[in-house]
Amino acid sequence: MRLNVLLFLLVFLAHVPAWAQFPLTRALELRFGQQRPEVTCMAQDEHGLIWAGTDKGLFWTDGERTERASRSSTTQVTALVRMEEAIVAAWSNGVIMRCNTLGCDTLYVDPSLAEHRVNVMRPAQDGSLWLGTHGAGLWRAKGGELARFDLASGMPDDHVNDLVAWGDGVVAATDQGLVLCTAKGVQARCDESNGAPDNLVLSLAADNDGLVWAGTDRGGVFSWTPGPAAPTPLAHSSGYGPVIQLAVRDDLVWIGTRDRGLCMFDLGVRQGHYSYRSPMDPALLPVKDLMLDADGVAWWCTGQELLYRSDPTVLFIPEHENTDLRGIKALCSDDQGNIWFATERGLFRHSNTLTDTHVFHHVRIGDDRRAPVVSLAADAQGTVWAATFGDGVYALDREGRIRHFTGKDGLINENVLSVRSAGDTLWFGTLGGVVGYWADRFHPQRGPGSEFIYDILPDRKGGIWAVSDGAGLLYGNATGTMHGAASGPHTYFSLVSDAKGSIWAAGPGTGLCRSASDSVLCVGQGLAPFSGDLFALGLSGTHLLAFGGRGTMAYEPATNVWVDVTRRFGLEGARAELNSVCTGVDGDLWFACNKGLYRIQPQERHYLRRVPAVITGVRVGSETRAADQHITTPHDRNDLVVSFTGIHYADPSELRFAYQLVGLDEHPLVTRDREITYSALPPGNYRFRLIAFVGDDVPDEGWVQFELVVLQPWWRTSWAMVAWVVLVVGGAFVVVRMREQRARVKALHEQEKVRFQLEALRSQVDPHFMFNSFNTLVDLIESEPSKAVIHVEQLSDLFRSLLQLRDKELITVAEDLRLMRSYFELEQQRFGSAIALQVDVDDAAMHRYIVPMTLQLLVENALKHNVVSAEHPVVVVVRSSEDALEVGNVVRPRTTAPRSTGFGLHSIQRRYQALTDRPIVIDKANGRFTVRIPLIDPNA
Amino acid sequence: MIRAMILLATLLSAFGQGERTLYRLERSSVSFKSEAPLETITATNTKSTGVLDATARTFAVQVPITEFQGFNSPLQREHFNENYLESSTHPKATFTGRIIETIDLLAPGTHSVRAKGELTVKGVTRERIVPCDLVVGPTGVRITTSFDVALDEHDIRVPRVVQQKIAPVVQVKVDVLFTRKP
Repeated sequence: MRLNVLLFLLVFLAHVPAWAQFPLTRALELRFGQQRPEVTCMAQDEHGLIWAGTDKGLFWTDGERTERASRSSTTQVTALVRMEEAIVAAWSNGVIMRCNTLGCDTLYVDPSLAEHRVNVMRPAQDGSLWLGTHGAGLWRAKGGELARFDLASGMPDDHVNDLVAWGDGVVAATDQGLVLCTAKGVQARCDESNGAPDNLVLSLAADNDGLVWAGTDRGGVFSWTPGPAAPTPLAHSSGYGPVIQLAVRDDLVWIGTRDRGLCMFDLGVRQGHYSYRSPMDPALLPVKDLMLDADGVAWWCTGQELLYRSDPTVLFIPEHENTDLRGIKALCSDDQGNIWFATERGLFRHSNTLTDTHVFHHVRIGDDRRAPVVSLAADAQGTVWAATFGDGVYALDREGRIRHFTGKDGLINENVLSVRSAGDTLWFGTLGGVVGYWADRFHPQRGPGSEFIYDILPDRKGGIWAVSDGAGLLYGNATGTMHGAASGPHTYFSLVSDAKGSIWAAGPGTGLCRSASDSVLCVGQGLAPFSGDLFALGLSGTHLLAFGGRGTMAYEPATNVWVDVTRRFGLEGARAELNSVCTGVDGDLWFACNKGLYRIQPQERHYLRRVPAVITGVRVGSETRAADQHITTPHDRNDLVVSFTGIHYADPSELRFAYQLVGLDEHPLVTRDREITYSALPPGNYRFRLIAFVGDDVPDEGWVQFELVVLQPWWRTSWAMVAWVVLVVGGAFVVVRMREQRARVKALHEQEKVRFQLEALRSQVDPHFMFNSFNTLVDLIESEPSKAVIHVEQLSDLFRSLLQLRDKELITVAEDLRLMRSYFELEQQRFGSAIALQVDVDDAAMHRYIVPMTLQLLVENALKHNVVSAEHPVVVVVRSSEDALEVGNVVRPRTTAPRSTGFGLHSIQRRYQALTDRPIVIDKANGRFTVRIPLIDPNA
Repeated sequence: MIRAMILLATLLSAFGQGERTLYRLERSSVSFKSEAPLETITATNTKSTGVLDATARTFAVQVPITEFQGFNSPLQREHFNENYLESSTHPKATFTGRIIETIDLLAPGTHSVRAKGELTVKGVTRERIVPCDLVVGPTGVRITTSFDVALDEHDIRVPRVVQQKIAPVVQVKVDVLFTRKP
């Protein structure tokens, strides 16, 4: 076997190597209505939203939707920084504001800051905020106080171009070098006098090790540890031109230049730099601001309406030193960290640990364009095997010797589609089946059906898997024969081994298929990579990647979850040769396609299905509220509007949201909207929860939420209810009590009446009265028997009247007068002219009513309590007045007054009280005793 | 722009106060050159005014836009004033700033310095750092420099039809002589 043409091309790079390679960069457009604001500064808030300071005010964006954060649309924002939970913005009119998605409030105002704009702001560890101005020195703001450090207080210059927090203070980049400044003043300086390459320092960055990096106007980049130490220049960096922005994370220095766009300098591998030329803008505008987010992704702007996002974990190399990398046919990695690839021009080696001068190898083999290299593999000795379609196999060893194997050497078919190595064994998939190579000999493996082998894969047990056109999945253990799987699809293109060593195959329309005990199980048949051209399968950590013409998806066998990663890896529209994927020794994934060579360093974030959800605003009844844990609102302000978004800058348009107002919605609802309105919520307790995700399935966990309480109206609150009950019960109680009272009064009245009647009756049958009557009767029988008859008749008349009237409540004055007269005449029989009665009652009074026996009782009282004698007769006067009946007599008290029961007058008074509110008036004036009894009208 | 005017006015009014050493612009030549595929346009202005504070190393120069002479035709000059620079609304271009390097502007010598300042053209202010050659003589300071001005940076919009005739980036050459006035 004759060595073919052997040619090494060493490509030496200039001091600043001009690599055409750059990170995956996307431009997000900041458009607000018809406005195209010019973005000059940026910041990222605690939620991950990107804030942009522009000539037309302050905005924030999620990549898809842009909102204005402040009312002002004419004042320019000159600097932005995140400080704890807020974004602090410096405006060109000298106002420093603190903002969040709900609005802004003013922190400081100073006319000096309007005249000398604020270039940069940084919070220091002690909670203070430092401001670097254009011509007014360095300012320190804490607790509402502004302190100024300028030329007078030891600053080298009044123009502060950039700041980084360092220790208790800040390092400031001025027109006259670096200065470390704390609250006490200037602590250390670094300028040309102690070794800095240029005094005019335009940009600063701090790395994780406390090193301060500085970008200068014409001295490139240098690093400095604040203190007496001298600065260290970054080699060759002066070729970048003016460095106006800097950012450092781990080993990667991002350099924002004025004339050369954004460059990356990898300290770890001294790999030179990558520069990025924005596809939208061929003019390479100055990088106005540059920052790194938590993932190490760089954000930058160039004074246009665009925000650029560069992800260093996905790197494009479309060409290199006139070698077009967009037509790679095959690639593999070796154990030295090199990536080998074949194009129509031959075999190339890409060293992943390049030096500045030793970057690229070019080996010309297999010159016949009709027999291109279609597969590459590196064996354990570092020999690279190149399989051609039509010209057998070439082997290039470490010493540069090339061997060529054809049919004459025992290769069963010179059309080789796949080559793989396993230990000392090489395996080839050809149009004539699978063939192994060990002990300097080819060993064909006979298989069933078609011999058209697309891909082969040795497993860990020494066996060999192959996928064919028509015969499906084949397996053999190097014994010379191969067996087909009993079932499953007939055609696969690619094979891959997962992290556990299981073998997966995929072809057009098959999904990912795994051989399991004589049957084949497939998942994801209808998904994008399998519905069009399938290019390759790859392994990254626990994820299997399927690269296809319609998209690239990642599958995790352990969780059975698919994630579309097409846009996250920048692979949209990519077209590739079959099986042009390999994994480097450090786990990087290399993929060759029509866009060039890709280096993908997948991170967990690339596979996330759920992304952080942010509630950006809550309005309750047209009032903006903070989305804190508990919101309470009255019943008549019960409209709820929730604005929200998710953080997924890799592909913001793919974001979907599931939301649920627990208490109203029975299930979560899925939307692409970023605002939800609930109107006229009934009173009650609610919980709003939200999740942001990509793909079709709503994740189970990771909800953000807040509680909302719509209060009951006051008349339906619990205390109002209690008040109602108290009122009703109280009212009922009062009514019952009044009824009871009335019943009791009535009962008392009845009792009174009975007692009165008893008393009256008793008085009538008073033995003394009877005794007197009978004595009188005896006298009359003896002297005047005719009168005696009358007396007895009068007595019986009286008793009959008493019996008749005692049940009545009221009787007419006439009736009562008759009763009284009956009694009086009986008494007159006894006393003769010693008593007299004068009745002067008019007709109107006669028909009005009084309590029965009132007159009789009063007359009886008069006779009982006064001296009855012929010289001083007792004259009882009964007279009617306006509304009353008067019974009166002259008082001449008896010395031996009879024992009074106190019943008579008292009982009359009480009975009248029950019947009328007019009182009985007792008048004892002028030696007369007069009782005035009110006349009652029963119908009144 | 307004700030530049104020600075210029204060610098001018500071003449004769004796504390600072002020130089006034005596002779000036500010020219630009637009090299487009189809046409090269040049124009020169000698009517600039300005001051240089030798103590503070600050300067202010203003250029009346309407005083540019040259061009390939009178119509071109008219278009320059009316359509592109809009000199009726923005009659002056200014450059105010300071010299970064700490050199002695009173001792004769030759220096290569950078002037950092704000360049205002057509009302749009951009910060520029411009390398200059500076010769200090016994009575004056001569400064020569050249720099590029991107039309886009100053809101000068060129219609598509004339893009082959007007370069997007114009080279500006400055040669000025400041002299000390008693």
